[in-house]
Amino acid sequence: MAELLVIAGQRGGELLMSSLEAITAARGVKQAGDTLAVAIIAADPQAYVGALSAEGVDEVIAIKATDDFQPDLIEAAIMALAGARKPALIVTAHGVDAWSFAPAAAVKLDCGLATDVQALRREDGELVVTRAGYAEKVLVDVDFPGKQTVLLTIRTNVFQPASGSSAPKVTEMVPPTADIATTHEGWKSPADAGGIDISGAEFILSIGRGVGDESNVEQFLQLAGSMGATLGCSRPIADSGWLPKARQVGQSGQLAASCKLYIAMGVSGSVQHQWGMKHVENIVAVNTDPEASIFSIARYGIVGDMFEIAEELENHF
Amino acid sequence: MKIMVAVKQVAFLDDEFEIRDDGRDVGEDFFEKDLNEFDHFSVEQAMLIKEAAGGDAEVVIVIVGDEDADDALRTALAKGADRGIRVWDDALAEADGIAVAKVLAKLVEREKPDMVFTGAQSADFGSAVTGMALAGFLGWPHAAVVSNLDYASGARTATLRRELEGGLEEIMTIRCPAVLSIQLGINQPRYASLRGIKQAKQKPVDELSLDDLGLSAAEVAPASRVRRMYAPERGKAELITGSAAEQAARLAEIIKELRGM
Amino acid sequence: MTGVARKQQMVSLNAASAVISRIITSNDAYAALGAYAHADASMQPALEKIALASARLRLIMASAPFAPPSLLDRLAQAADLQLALRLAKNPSTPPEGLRRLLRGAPTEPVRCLIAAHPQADAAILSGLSQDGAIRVRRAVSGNSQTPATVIRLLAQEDDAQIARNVASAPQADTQTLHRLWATADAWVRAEVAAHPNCSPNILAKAETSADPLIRRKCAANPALVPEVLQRLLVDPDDRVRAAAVRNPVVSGERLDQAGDPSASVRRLFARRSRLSPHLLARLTADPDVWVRRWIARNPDVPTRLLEQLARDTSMDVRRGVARNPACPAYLVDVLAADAEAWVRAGVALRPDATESVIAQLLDDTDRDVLSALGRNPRTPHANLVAIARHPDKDVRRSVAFNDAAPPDALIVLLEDDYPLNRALAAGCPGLRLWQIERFLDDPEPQVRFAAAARLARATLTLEPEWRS
Repeated sequence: MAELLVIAGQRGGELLMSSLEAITAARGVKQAGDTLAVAIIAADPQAYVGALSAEGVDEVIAIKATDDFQPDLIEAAIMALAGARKPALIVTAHGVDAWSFAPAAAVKLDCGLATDVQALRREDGELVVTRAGYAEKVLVDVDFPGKQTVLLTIRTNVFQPASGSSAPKVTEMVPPTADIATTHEGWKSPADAGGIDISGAEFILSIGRGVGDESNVEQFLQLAGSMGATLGCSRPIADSGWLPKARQVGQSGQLAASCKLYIAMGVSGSVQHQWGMKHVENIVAVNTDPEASIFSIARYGIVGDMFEIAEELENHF
Repeated sequence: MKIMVAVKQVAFLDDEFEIRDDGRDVGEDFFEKDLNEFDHFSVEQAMLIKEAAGGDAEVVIVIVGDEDADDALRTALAKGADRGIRVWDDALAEADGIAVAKVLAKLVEREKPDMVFTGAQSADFGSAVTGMALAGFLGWPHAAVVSNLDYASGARTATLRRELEGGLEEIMTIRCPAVLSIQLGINQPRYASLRGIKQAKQKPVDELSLDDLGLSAAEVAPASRVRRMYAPERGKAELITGSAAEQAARLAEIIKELRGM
Repeated sequence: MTGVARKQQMVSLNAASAVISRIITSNDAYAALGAYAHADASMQPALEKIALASARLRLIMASAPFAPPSLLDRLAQAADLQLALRLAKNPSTPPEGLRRLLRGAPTEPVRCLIAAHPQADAAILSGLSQDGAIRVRRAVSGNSQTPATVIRLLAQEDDAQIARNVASAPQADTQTLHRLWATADAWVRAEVAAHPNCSPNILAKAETSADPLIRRKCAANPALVPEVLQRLLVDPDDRVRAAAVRNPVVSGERLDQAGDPSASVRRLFARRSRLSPHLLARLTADPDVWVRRWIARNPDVPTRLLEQLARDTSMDVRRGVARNPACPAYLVDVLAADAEAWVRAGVALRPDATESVIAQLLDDTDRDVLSALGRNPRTPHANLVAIARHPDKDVRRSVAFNDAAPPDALIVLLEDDYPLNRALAAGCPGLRLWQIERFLDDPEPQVRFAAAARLARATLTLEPEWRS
C-alpha cells in the first residue's frame, strides 16, 4: 500500500497537457492497493478536477492559491504533502517549470531523484527508471537504493496523455506558507522577426558544401520556398558569399532555436554546424557519404545525391 | 560584489564506443572532454555584469572534478574570470547533480557570493539538476532556464525571463542573491583571446578536498545509482532506402506529416 | 643543379629538420600529424610515435579524414574492432589499408563499411560480392566503383535494394538493364529508363508508358535521340516536360519559342543555355519571379534585357544580375548603389569590380558586403587589414579566403580570438613561415595541425623565404 503523487501544472490558467502524461507514467507502476493522487495549484483548482479525473486517479488535491508560477510555493506544497502522506513516488512532467522546482524539492526531501525519465518499471520489486546519457547516445537504467521517496520528472511526448475517466475523491488543501522570492511580471511571445529568421523558423532546409557552386544555390532557395521552409546553410556557404550570413546555422552563425524539422542536404555535420541544430527533434540528413557525421544525429537518413533528391522533392510540393 | 559560476566538464562520446566491463559506463578511451556548452553562456553573463560594473566585481569559477577537469576550468578563466576553485575526492566518482550541489553549497558558504550562475543543463547527461538543487540546499531564490537577465552588480532584485516551451517567455522579478540557471542564446559568448588563454594558466586555483569543506563521503551520496548503461536499439538514423524518386516520395510524406500539410 | 640551388636546398633541408625536431620536442600529437605527410621518411617513425601515443589518440587518428593515408595504413596493421570500424569508415584509408583490414577477418559491420568505401578497388569489391551477408553484397552493389562483371552477377539476386542499386549503377550494361526491366517493379523500371546504357527498345516502351514516373525518367535519359525528346517536350504532364527541358539532348535554340503554360517548366527554360533571343525576352518579362531570378543569372542574356532585370522590383532578381558574369560595368555601377545590402554584396564579390566600385562599397557597414570585399583580390591591402580587425568574427575570417591577402592582414587574423580564424590563417600561402612557427604552440589542436602541415610542406618545397 503505497501512495503515488503526481504534481500537475498549469500555465496562465491552462492545464499543461504534459500533466496527463505524468499520470500515465505513474499509473504504469501503480500496484494493487496503491493510491494515485494528483495535486494542482491554481487560482481556481476545482476547474481542473474534470480534466485530471483520468482512469486510475483516486484523488485530486486542489490547492487554491495563484495561477502564477512560484517555485517556492510548489516546493512548500510538495514538502507538506510528502510530510503528511509519505508517498513512495512523486511524478511530474520534465517541463521548464519542473526544471525550477523539482531538484530543489528533492534536496529538501532528501529523496531519490531522476530527471527526464523515459521509462519506469519494477525489477524484483525495486523501482528502476531509464533516461538517456551522453547526448542521447546511451540509455541508463538507474535505481534508488535506500530511498523511501523517489521524485521523477518525465520526458514529455513519450507517454500517452492519460484518458478515460474516474470519480476521484477531491481534497481541498490550504496552501502552505512559503517565502515567495519571485514575482510574475508578464509574458513575452516569440518575436516575429521579419526577413530571414533562422532562430524563429520551425522548418529549415539547410545546404552545405555539397551544393558545389553558387549557381546551384538558387535551386534550393526555390525548393525551400515551395515547401514553406526557411533556407539555412553551413559556414562554408556563407563564407563564400553565396548566401547571407543571416542564413548560417552553427557556432559561427545562428541557433535553430525554434526548429522542429531540419533537413540537411550536403551538410557533413561539423561540430560547429551541429552546435546550431543538433537539438532539433526531427533531423533528416541527405548526403552521398553514408559515413558523414550528420547521420549520427539524424532521425532519418537518405544516402543519396542532394540534387537528385531536391529535383524529385519538387514534384511533391 | 562577487559572482560564482559553477561549470562542468562534459564528455562527448565517439560514434562508435564500447561499454565498460562492469556495464555501468562507457570505456574512457571513447570520450572527448570539454567545457559544457551552456557554461560559455553563464560565464559570459557573469563577465557582462562585471564589465558593466566597471570591473568592480569578482567572478569565481568553481568546478567539481578530477585533474582532467582543470582544462574546462582554465577555459572559463581564459574568458576573464578572476580565479577558480576545483573540488575533488575519489568519493565523488559517482556524484550526480545532487552530490555536486551539496559540494557547491559548501563553497557558497565559504565564498558568500551575491549571485550564482550555472548552465541550464549539461550537454552530456542533461539532468538540469545541479543549479536548482544548490538553491534547495541554500534556501535561496532560484529560476531555471533564464534567457534574459537585467541585473546590476550588487542589486537586491533582478528582472529575468524564463524560456518556456514553444518559445514563450515569462518575465519575472527575483530577490537576490539567487541561483540562476542560464539558457543558451542569452548572450553571445566571447572566445578567449590568446593572451587570455596564456593568463589563465597563471590564475589562482584553489584545490580543495571534501575534508577541506568539512564534508564526509556519506554526505555526498548521489540521489540515484546507475544500474546499467547500454546503447539504444535505434541509436542511428532510420535509413530511407530505394531509388531517389522513392526516397523523395517518402521524405515528402514525412515533411507533410510533421508539418501537418 | 647549380651551386646556388644546391645551397638553397641545403638550407631548406636544415630548416625542415629543425621544424620537425621542434615538433618532436613539443610532443604534440596534432602538430606531429600535420607534419607527418610532408616529413622525410627518416623522421616519420618519431612523428608516428607521438601521433599514436595513446589508445585514445589511435582512435582519434583512425577516424580523422585529414590523417595521412600512410599513417592510416600503419594503424590497419594492428587494428582491433574499434580501430577497424573507424578505419573502414575513414574515406582517407587507402586500398592497401582496407585489404589489411579484410585479412583480419573483420565483423560484418566492418565488411559493410569496406564494401561502401570510396577507395575500395575492383579486387576488393569482387571479393566482397561473394560475401555471405546480404548487407555486404548490397553495399557492393551501391558502390560506384563496382565493375560491370560484378554488377552483372549481383543483378541476379532477388533483392529489392540490390535491384535499385544496379539499375542506377554507372557500370550496369544493356543486358543487365534489360533483365531488370522485364522483372522488377515500377520504381526500378523508372531507374532503368533513365540509364544511358538502356536499349532503344526499352526507351520506346518507356516513352509511351502510362506511368508518368517512367516517362519522366525516360525524358531525363542523356542517351535519348532528339526526336523522342521532342515528343516528351509536349507531354501532357508538367513533370515530364520539366525533365525533358532539363535534358541537353535538344539544344536551347530548338526549344519551343512560346515557353510553357507551367511556371515550374518555364523556370527550367530560364536555366538553359543558348536560348533564342525571342524566348530570352519573353522569360525576362515573365510574371513568375523565379523565372526572372533564373534568367537574371543566365549568362546568355543580352545587356538590354539585363538592364530591364536590374530594375526589377524583386531584390533577388537584382542580386541575380549582380552575380551574372555578363553584367556590363555600367550596370555593376548601378547595382553597387542598390538599396538592398544583399545586392551590393553580390557586386562586392565580383572579380571584375572596378577600383571606384570597391572604394564606394568600402564605406558599407553591412557584414555580407564587407565579407565579400574581404575575399575580393581587388580590395586594397590597407582595407583588408581593416577588415581583418572588424568586430564581427565572420567578417574578419573572409580575409583568410583572399589569395591576394598581404601578410599584414593575415598576421592580424593569426591573433584572432576565434580559433577557426587562426587555423584558416595559418594555412594561407600569403604568410611568411617564421610568422607561422609560433602557432605550433597554439591552444587549439586544429591551429597546431594547420601550422605544422604548412611548415613541413613549405620547407620541403624549397620556399626561399624561410630564412627571411
